Amino acid sequence: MSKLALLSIALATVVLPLVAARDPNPRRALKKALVWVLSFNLFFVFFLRVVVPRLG
Amino acid sequence: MRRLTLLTLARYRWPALAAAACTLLVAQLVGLARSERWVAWAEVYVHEPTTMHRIANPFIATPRQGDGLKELETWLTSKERLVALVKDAALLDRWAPGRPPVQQLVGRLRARLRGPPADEDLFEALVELVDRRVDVTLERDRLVLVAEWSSPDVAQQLVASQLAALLRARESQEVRALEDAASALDEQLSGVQAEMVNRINELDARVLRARAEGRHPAVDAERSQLVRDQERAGQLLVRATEKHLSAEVLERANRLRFVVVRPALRPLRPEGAPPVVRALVAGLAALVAALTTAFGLALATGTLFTRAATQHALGMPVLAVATGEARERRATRRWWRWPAALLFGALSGLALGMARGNPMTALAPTLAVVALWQLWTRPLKWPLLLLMLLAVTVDDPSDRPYVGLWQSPTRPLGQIFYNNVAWFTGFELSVMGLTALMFLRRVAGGLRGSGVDPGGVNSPVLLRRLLVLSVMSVGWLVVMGLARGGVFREALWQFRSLMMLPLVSMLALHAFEFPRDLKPLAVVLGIGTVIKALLGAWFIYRVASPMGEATPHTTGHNDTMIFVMATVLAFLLFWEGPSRRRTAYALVLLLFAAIAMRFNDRRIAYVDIVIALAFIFTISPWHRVKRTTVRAGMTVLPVLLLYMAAGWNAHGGVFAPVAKVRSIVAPAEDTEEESSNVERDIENYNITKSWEQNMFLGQGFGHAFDEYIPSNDFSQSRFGHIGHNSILWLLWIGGITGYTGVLLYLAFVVFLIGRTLQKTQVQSERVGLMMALGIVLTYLMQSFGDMGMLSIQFAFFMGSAIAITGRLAVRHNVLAFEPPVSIEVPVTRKHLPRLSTVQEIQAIKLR
Repeated sequence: MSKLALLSIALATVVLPLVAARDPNPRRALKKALVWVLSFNLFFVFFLRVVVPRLG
Repeated sequence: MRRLTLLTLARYRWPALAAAACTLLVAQLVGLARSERWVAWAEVYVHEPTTMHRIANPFIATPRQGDGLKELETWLTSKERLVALVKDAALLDRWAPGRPPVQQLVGRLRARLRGPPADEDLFEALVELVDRRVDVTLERDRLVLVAEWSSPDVAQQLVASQLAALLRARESQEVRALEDAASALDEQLSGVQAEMVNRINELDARVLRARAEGRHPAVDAERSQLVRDQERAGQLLVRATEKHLSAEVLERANRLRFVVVRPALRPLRPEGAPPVVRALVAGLAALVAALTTAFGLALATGTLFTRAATQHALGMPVLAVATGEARERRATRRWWRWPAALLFGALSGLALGMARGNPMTALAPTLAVVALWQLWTRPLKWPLLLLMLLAVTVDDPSDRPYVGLWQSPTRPLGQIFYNNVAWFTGFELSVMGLTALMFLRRVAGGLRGSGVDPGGVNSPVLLRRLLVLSVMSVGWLVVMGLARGGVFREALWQFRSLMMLPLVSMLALHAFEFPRDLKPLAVVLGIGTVIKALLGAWFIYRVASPMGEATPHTTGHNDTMIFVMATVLAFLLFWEGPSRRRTAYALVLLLFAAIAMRFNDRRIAYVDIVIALAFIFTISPWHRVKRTTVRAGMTVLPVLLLYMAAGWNAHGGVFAPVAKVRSIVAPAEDTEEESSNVERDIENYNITKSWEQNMFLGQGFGHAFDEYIPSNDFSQSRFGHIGHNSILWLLWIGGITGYTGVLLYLAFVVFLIGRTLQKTQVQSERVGLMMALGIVLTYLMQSFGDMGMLSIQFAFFMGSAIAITGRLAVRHNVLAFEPPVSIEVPVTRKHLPRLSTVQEIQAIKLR
């Protein structure tokens, strides 16, 4: 489980931009992709610090 | 051509003659300054007589074949041996007379100016020289001893001394150690026996005294001690006898252990070609120098120009060439003609003097000039493709291919391109050189015009900026790491590949034009797969199997990506509109990729393929092949699940694929896979805990992570400097900010892939884009699983993926907003429940 948690940052780098790219407006899509990836990276720190240790 | 040659030679005859004369003159001078090199060598076959050991003493462990050979090799080149060699060959007295006249003259002058060198300094210098000139090579069960010197007698003596040392090495080391141990045991035994005699004497005296006094002697304690002493003496006797016996057996076996296949003979002729060949090579070098000078000057002064240069200058293609008679025989006068000719002649002479009759070395300056000229005038994609071809075919020696049991024919190239040449590896130096060339071309573009490389905007601006951000982030992490006390030598190993990736990407963006260059890239990948598959098969069937070795892998760890990408390409050729020709190519590629992967034997390859294919499947529209695949999959699924369930606890045979899947998903206890997983978990834990010290900014490069939980083999991670999980490792080094700065371009590349795939319906472009997605995914998975960020090979793959994406994104203008061309509202299935009648549904054009 903790291995999947660690892997999530790698998968997010691919999944989030692919999903964002489906937006018809290119500017909005790009903004979405970058904001989502940056937000996920920040969330990942919290996730690893707080959630993963409780998973064991 | 003949007329052109004659004309060129006629125009530049004097500079050409000067270059030829200079070549011969400088070669002569170099010959005077350099002494001849004499090479002596001896070969010894090593075979341990195990039967003799077993018969002599069946109760102790028999030495195995090859035991101690590595140590022997190290010992023969140790400082102790080098000093002994200098003394044995009396080099201190013999080195001066053997030197060539020029060096003797320089030596005398130096002695006049600075005084004669001290004997200690001279001795140290000779030890260093011997270290460079003496070599010991271990080839399975053969030891080859080689020595080079300027005198044949000294060379022979050096080898003879090494050979004698080798033959008596066991006597002087192991036998002596055993005898010392045996002597120590003998001494202990004597001591115990003497103690026993004293105790018995004392006991006798006490018994006599007690009898005289008429009481019962109290000697129980002494008796018990005597019994213990006796036991101890017995043990010592057995151990000492064993040691004596072992020493004797070893000494006698040593005479049978070494078979001198070739003794240390006096070399008959110096190294290099015979005099006749040397004279021929000298003539050839002078002729080539003259021709190169004449043609070089003609090209450089504009007297002679190529078809490409003409097209370049005119901006239109040359359709026909008219032949005429040129009467002008005067050369264009440029001041630098003579210095250039003489400089080139001197360089050729230097190479000729060093060549000792080797034509390739003698012609090296000419080859270098031609190569540089080609590099300057030809598109950059060719050298880049060549580098990529080398990256996928040549073995990386640091990756320990073939488990160190065999060296493939590509190894010499691997040592140049993967090992440090001058601070950097051959690949890194080549990439840096090509990057410099790219910038030079861009700078010179205004004067020379463009046209050699594909022009135009090669990628979205943001992609180039994010690549620059990556380079700057790596630079920042290096500076920060060193400022915090990091070690630069370690930092260099850590950041070099991360730094190379953006450079290779920029090069590929500049050099390639897509979809035109997709085919050459696919060919490079195909060649790499076939060559690695053949090398792996050769190793298994011709090397490992005859030796009785069951090796864990054949080709290197980083080669996995080649096979994964070949498999994905084969799949995509079939997936995106199969044709008979493409299917045939895909099947051949798949066959070789499967062979290569079987011999590479790495679980992560299968994980990479599954993940890449899963993503490709998900983002593909519902075309014919996808629908057929789903239908077939749904039909086979129950059978597949039953097969998996039946073979879950099996180990091989028909259930071998299930065993492989299980080793990835849930490895059984006490297996190699499980132990490897535990090791990685420990390392991941250690890196995560180290990262927690500074989660936002990280440590910077040049540091080692802490070992909170002791690892079984900490050396695998270079003692904490490298993590197998490169993603976690980069997070620890750069914190979340550094990680994001270094890898944000990946997210943008994936975004561009997603958008471009929506716009293009061209089969080759879709295959290229999906390959790019596969490469990004595999890079991330390899980084997650096994040091993916530390391989230059991956940098070439990623560079290609980024170039494909950037070029095609610009071609389809995917970042520009396009208003809807029709006012029709697209209706999808989610609208269907709201429609009331079938007529309404039929009235609407379904998209």
